[in-house]
Amino acid sequence: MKQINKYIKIYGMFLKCSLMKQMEYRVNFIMMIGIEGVFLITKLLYAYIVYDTGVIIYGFSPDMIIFYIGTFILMTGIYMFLFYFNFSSISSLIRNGDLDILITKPISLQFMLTMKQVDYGTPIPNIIAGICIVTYQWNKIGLPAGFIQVLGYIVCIIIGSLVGYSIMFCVQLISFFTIKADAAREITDSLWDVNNMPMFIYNKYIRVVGCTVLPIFIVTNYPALFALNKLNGWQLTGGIFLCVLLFILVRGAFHLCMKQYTSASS
Amino acid sequence: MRQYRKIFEIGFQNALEYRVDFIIGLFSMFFPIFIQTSMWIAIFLNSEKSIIYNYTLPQMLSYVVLAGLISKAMNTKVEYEIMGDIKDGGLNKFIVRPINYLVYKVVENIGGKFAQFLIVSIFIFIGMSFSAALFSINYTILEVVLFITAIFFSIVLKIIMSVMVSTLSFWVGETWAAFMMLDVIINVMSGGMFPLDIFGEGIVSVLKFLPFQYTIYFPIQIVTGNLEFNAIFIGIIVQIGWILIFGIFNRFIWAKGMKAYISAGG
Repeated sequence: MKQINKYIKIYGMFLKCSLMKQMEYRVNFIMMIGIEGVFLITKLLYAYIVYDTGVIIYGFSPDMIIFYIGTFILMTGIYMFLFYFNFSSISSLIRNGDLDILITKPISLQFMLTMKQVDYGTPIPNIIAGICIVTYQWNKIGLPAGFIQVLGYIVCIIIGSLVGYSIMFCVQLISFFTIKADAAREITDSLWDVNNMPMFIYNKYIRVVGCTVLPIFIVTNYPALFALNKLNGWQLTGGIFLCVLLFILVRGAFHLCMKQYTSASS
Repeated sequence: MRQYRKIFEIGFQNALEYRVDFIIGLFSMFFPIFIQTSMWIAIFLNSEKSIIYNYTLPQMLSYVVLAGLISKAMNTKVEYEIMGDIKDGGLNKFIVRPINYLVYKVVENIGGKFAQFLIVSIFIFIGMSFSAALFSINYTILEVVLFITAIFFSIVLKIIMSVMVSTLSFWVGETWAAFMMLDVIINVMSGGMFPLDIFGEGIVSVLKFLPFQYTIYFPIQIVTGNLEFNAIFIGIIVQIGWILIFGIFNRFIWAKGMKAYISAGG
């Protein structure tokens, strides 16, 4: 319990320091919001096409698909807020030898590496747009908005976020084996964008792989499917199990990477 | 001429210096293609119409595959390199050398893109062979030659546009955000994400007066059979015209920028 309180306190400091750092360069802060706003438009183009064509795809109406896209946008905001900039900096920390300083700190290295930076600017367009689209479509489709439904949706978002964390962090571990790993970031961005559309547009073999071997589809599909009442108990249980399993596996992989890590600065 | 050949070779060698990163980066281009092909297949299979946005399914799939590959081939970071040189004084060493900095940068980037262009060309050839076999699309040798010519001019046009955007750095301190936003906007307006036809005839007719569609949309129209020979010929002339216009404008704006240049750092 003491350890948990310690980490909560430290994370509180990370939140505060990240905010102070970003408010120091306010123009940068606003520019990041602008950049993410432009990327948001590209995500909304998918919604525009779905709406414009008006096609019911495998039983999912355009409104349901747009609800899904809204969930994806919301989760993108959460991912950008909590994890993205931490993962992006792993490669340069290793290459420049700055990881050595973090190793000497008396707290979990994985925690420092993946949770230290919190970004307040870039998530703003995604979170606002995501919440607006989800709320609007939730009413439009006529989904039940009881306590259980909303709580279940939020729990699925948390599960999706943790699965996303494990998968994206795992890809960044490539940086321990290559000198230049800019492509690792491209791969994580591309993997995340696979969820731009619901998983049912892909064939069943890809869906099976995407929900088990490389469970990237769990990240944004599960919250939307739960709200749409298309997620059964087995799938939800499997998702929770995979979330825990992935976290343990990625932690093990990280420890293995650290064992063979040699400092670039020495 | 010999010096520029050497610069081309250096750019080519630099691109292949980190081969693992280069190969992983190539894989990342398949994700957007994968998402888009799945989406359009799902839309067409569930729609009563066989033609959507003036494209049949084979034409649409050809478009998204080629657009994804061409976008990757044209993706350049030259504006960031020039921004860095202007901001950090790296430009100083070029002022005293008997070499045109802009031509140096363009040639270096063409050299850097050449390796990627070769590999992407192989994938384009494979993609076109598959679509010819699967969808009975007949490509004539003339179409292929004109397509390759148009792609070459597209890459040169994109690099020159990027160089033009980079001249902002002479007057504005931090321009990376503007570059990122412009990159995304240009990609959308070039037809790199979706065919421009999704925006309707009105917007497409306006975009005809802008250079962006001549980077991705126009070359692909050559092989999807949507253009007559005269229109292809005129399109290539327009590409060359835009290259010359931007080339002349770049020289003018660069001369202005060099007068404002403060050699800080370097």
